[in-house]
Amino acid sequence: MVRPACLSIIQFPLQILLNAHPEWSSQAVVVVSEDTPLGVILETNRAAREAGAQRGMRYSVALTVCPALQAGVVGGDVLQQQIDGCITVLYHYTPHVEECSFDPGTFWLDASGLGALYHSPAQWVAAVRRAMQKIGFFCRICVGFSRFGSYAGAKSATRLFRSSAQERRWAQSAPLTLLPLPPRVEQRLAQLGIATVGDFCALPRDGIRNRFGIEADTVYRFAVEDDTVPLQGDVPAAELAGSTRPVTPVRDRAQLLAEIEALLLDLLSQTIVAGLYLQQLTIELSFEDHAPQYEVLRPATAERDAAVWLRLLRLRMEDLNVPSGVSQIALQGRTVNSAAAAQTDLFSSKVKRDPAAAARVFAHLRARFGNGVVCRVALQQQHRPDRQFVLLPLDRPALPAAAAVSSAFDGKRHCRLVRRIYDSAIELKSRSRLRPAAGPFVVAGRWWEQESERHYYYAYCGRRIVWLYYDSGTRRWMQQGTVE
Amino acid sequence: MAYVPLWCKSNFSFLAAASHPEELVRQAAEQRLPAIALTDRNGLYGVVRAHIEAKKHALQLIVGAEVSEQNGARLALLVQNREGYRNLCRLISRGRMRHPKGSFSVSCAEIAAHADGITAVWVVGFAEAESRLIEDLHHAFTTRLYAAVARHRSDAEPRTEGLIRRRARQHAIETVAAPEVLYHCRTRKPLYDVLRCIDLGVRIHEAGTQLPVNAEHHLPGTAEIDALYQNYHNDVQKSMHIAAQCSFSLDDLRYRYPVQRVPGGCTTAGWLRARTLDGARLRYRGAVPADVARQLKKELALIEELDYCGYFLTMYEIVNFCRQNAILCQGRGSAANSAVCYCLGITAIDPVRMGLLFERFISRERAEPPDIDLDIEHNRREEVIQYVYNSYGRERAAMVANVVRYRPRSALREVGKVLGLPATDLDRVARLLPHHGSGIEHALCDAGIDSQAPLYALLITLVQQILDTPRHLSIHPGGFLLGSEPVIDLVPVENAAMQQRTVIQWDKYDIEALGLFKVDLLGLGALTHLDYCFALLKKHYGSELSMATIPADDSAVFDMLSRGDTIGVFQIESRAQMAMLPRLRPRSFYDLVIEISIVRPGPITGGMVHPYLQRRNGEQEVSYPHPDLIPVLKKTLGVPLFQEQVMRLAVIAADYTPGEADQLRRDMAAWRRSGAIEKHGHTIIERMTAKGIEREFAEAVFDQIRGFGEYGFPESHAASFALIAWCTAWMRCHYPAVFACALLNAWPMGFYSPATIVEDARRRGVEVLPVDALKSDWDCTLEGPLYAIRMGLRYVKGLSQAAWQQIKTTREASVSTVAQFVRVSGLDEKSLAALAQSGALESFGISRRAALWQVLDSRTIKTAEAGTATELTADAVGHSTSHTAPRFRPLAEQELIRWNYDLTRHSTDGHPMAPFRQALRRQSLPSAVELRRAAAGSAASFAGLVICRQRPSTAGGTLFLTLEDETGFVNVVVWKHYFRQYRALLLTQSMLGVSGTLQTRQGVTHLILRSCWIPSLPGRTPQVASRDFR
Repeated sequence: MVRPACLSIIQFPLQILLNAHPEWSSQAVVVVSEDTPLGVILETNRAAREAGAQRGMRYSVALTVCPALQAGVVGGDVLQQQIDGCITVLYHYTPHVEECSFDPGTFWLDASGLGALYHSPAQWVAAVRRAMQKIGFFCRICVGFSRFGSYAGAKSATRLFRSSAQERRWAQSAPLTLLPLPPRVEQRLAQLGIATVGDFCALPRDGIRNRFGIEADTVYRFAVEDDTVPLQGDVPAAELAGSTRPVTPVRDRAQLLAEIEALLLDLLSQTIVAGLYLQQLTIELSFEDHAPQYEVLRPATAERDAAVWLRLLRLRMEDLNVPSGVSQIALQGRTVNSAAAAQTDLFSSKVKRDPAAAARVFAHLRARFGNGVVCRVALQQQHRPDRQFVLLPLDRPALPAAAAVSSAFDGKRHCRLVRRIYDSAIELKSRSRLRPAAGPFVVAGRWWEQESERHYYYAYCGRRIVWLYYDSGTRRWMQQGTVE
Repeated sequence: MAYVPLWCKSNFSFLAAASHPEELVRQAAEQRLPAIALTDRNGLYGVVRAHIEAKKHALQLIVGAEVSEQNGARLALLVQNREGYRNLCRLISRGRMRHPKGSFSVSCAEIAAHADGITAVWVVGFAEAESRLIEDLHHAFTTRLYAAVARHRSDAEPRTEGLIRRRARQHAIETVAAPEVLYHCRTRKPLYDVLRCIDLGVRIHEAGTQLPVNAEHHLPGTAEIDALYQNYHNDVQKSMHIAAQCSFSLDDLRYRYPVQRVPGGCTTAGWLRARTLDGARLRYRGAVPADVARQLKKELALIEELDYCGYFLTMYEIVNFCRQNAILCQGRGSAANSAVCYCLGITAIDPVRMGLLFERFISRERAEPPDIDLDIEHNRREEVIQYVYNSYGRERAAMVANVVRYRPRSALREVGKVLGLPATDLDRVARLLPHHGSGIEHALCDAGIDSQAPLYALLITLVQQILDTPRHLSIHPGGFLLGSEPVIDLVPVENAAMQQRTVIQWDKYDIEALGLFKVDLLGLGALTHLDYCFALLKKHYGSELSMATIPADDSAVFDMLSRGDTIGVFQIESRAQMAMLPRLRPRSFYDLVIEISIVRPGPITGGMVHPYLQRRNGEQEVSYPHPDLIPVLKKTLGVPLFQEQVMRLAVIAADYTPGEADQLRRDMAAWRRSGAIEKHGHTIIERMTAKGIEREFAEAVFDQIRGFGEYGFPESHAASFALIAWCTAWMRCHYPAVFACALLNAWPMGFYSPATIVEDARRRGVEVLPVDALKSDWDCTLEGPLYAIRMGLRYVKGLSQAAWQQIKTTREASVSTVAQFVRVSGLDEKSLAALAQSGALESFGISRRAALWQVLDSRTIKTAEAGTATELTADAVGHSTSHTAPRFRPLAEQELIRWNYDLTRHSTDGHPMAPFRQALRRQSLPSAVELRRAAAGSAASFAGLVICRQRPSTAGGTLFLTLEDETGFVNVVVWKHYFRQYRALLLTQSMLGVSGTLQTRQGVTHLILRSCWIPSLPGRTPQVASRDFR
């Protein structure tokens, strides 16, 4: 018989917030829906509750009862990231993990058939709780007989139900607050004097739907009609690894390549067995008398084709500097489990240009010259010349769009000098050969970051024009670039 | 080389510049510049302040404005003469009046049409402007049009400048050096950036190139200008030439008050005299006493001499309009010193009988326009305002502006937002900040934020800098500027946010500084209250009373006042007044005048309260510091209590000349702003002691002068208010139900919440009935032979007046069930839920919870077919239309009261503390009545709802709390150090426990706080908002 277990991380968003702000642990803290005074309180800790802050209150209202109330927003991205982390951990203890769709931080686990590994369900529960504590979350687990029963059990205490009747009785008398109802609905039900799950379930179903909407109806159905569908869950992507320690340190590049290739092929076969794709490969080389060296390879798309990986590996190894004998080689691969993009590519319209070919070239360039070499320029609305653009990594090429023609373009030919900016400004040791041409042009720094002002000049240096500035903070003269 | 900055914006450009006009002028004077132009964005908001400051430094101020043309060009228009000023005012008014508040646009043709008397400097968009535009403006301004060359050491400028010079040559227009000045010194750049970000709605790190490239928009000195324009000295010299052409000064404005429409053959003076004498005959029933006649003759002569007749007739007309339309009104302030005002019906106090000083109102030496403030019942003030607009026309009447400035809370919120600090943190800190003054570091600390952290340290600095910076313009509560010429020739006029209102670009301080006339039409809740009382009396008792016919002497009323039983009584209902009344024990109208005046900063800081009370109670001999002062101080037993007395003391005892006395009066009024009063200290004290007056008394008089600067009452003003206070007290004493019902209908006003007013009425034996959808009107009404108060639906939170109209219509359909009510009324769910929760649907025979369950499904009810079997069955048992409704638990007593408070701000089912009485007794906590019986000096504790907090500036940081339970009030005094210790609790808790020592004096009990706490109760009390005052 399937024994569903429910794991509920108590006030999941609040725990995330407190993990991010350990200094708030002894203070009144709430999670709010948005970072404004009108943000609605979603979670409260004990200190906040004792001070009078309640779920559903506006933050500004709660402040009137608790002036020192700390608050933070836990965004959807953060929540999902933490959920993914939890699922990865939980798969070590159960073959099935199902995430609760309407209550983040709650999971159903399959607790059946674990007798060979754990003497009792209680022992299994204890092991899972310890594992969750290790990643910073306190949780309650209930092993029950139904999704809702185990959910209700987990929301109030860690427990084991002995019979489905016991589970049902307990669930009916549980307080309404354990249900994941929207604060607005929870408040209305409280106004109507509905205090327990039993009271809630006694209300007519269409009465709930008409008055409180779909969200409340979903919770109601969940509480009233137990769902017997088996647990649903995705196998998560995994980190795969392999390593070798040669008998004698390897100095020969060909031998080193052969050793790495062997490890890589092993890793790729593991990937194929798991039905995954290799997205990124990290090679760690340990030396006898040097600090370890890391090389990261990324193909154009997640791949399990050995030929692609070997080509990238060989390109990287061509110029690899091996300062001394390699005593250990370790490979770590990041995989993904999504359907290969190639499957859906079949249905996408084809263009004349082949972005995939360009992406492969980019991958080769990265493999040959390093991961930072393929970039694109993004213009920034900033005053300081070195801040007017940033270089962003470019994984795959973007198809060119028709360039916008400046409305200021009047068709006339303007004779303008072109400035070439250095990667980073160079300090000028002497200005004796310089003759001023124009300036100063003053650029203020970001005063809120205590940046100083710069005075820019153009100066003749022989027949060349150089572009320099005086930094009023460091009191140094720097060359920003040249003028052509 | 000398130059004149021609393009300077002050912070009256509202978020577009960062220095006060005075700072710009001072900086220009320090740099020895010959002149400065103030060119605020599309307005003349800051020119009066700059003008006053420039006069102090003998600096030429060029009046101007930066005007935005609709295609994006901007021109600094500089006034050369009076005609130019008129043109500029008209142009700005035109650009403002066609848009809602805050927007502006004028066309090139409009600028050209107003070019006479103006020099135009094209400051933005010249290089890109269409040639036709340049030609049009060149044609209008001829040689008075210049193209500005602005240099701020930006690398984009050389190219733009090249284009400007080329186009200027093409069109034969001269160029002039005119850097844009946005702040007076470089250190203001951060504040400027913050203001820009507020205006743009972006955070500082996102603003990028939307902010200026550097801090070079300060006011440069001559050396800097020389360096900046080293190749173009001719451009710099042209700024001097322009300044020389602009000879206009605001002193050139000649203002005439509108001449009243008087019957043919009559002069204004003659008409005023006739109206006054008619009024006098009416006031004195045909026999005008000789002293009154003498006083009238004297006043009328002076009014005529100073040409103020039109002003008095205007006030007379307004008062007449109020009378004809049954709108209660009464003049306040120094106007009550005038017998003419009394005879014209503007004021209600006879100044001759009261011995009031006319010179306090108008004096030849002062040559200042008189100031008549008219109180009007607050809910009908708009009618009077529209009458004035209609009577004088929009061109000749406009309301005075009020400049809204950054105060600590708004400053913290907006600066913090720009710096990217969490809004929730800012809200937390803002709540701990005072409304005025500083204290941000303390507040940050109290909120658990490290004020030393770099971003918060920056926040503190910027908040301090931004304080007092104008944020936007709002409308003065009732100040009107009226003119015989169009007001738009005097000052630009613009639309206010409120419909049907136009507002000038100056505030009352500007008006005063230029000596212009202002009419103040102020709303007063107490007059509305009285009007409602009179209407209820007429309706239910058949008694027609008015302020003039309420008996002037009534011992029962004085007895009530002497007990401090004055909730809702105008001016004497505050905690401090209630505490003073049993000590002063008023027995005459003049005692009431004193009662109103004595609890004020003047007498308190001057230490005059105790001597007066002791002399009144015979505990101290009545003596006078000098025989010459007997006539001045006789009425107040030798102790100066009124502003006039202090001024006359200065004249008689310190030999002040009329001019010196007048200066003293001005400095008293401006003390908080300028600190000028201090210079009188030495003179007054020395001269008084030289006359043989004790030094201690002289010093006390001077302290009192300081106090009057804070807030003091002239005797005439107190007398006007005392009359209203007496009328409201009389109503409270003899018709408590009428009084409370009218007060609830006039609310919000006064010191107390509706809950307190209801509790007070109940304690006085008045029955208060709950809101009822079938019985209540919008306002509270009186019901039955015992005149019970039926609470009005206006007290149901979330219910609009439109909803009330729907309910009224529904009643005509004689509905008998909630479902019928829902369907017929068509009210939205929110209104219906509010009605259900407030108990207004209980008369349909179902509980509040059952009603709430039904109305939450109002959509289904409304769409259901009327008269279907399902509905009828459901309705018959009080259930919803589609299902048998579940049974709901009845509300417990605590819940019921909490719902009442949450939904209607009061409870007719009991006080929120009542259900907890047993629990409080178990904790040995007495009720308010029991506490008052406890021995003075004993230790005591009490728990109650906080209904009022007051922290007056004269109290040296002491907080006065009023706590309430079901039996009455307890006054709590919190000394400064305890306030600091318990600040957060004291300012935020709506239910509070306090422990301390009882202090009883002359029947008044105070609990002196030693500690406070949150009481442990078996349930929750409602969140009751206290009424907090400074």
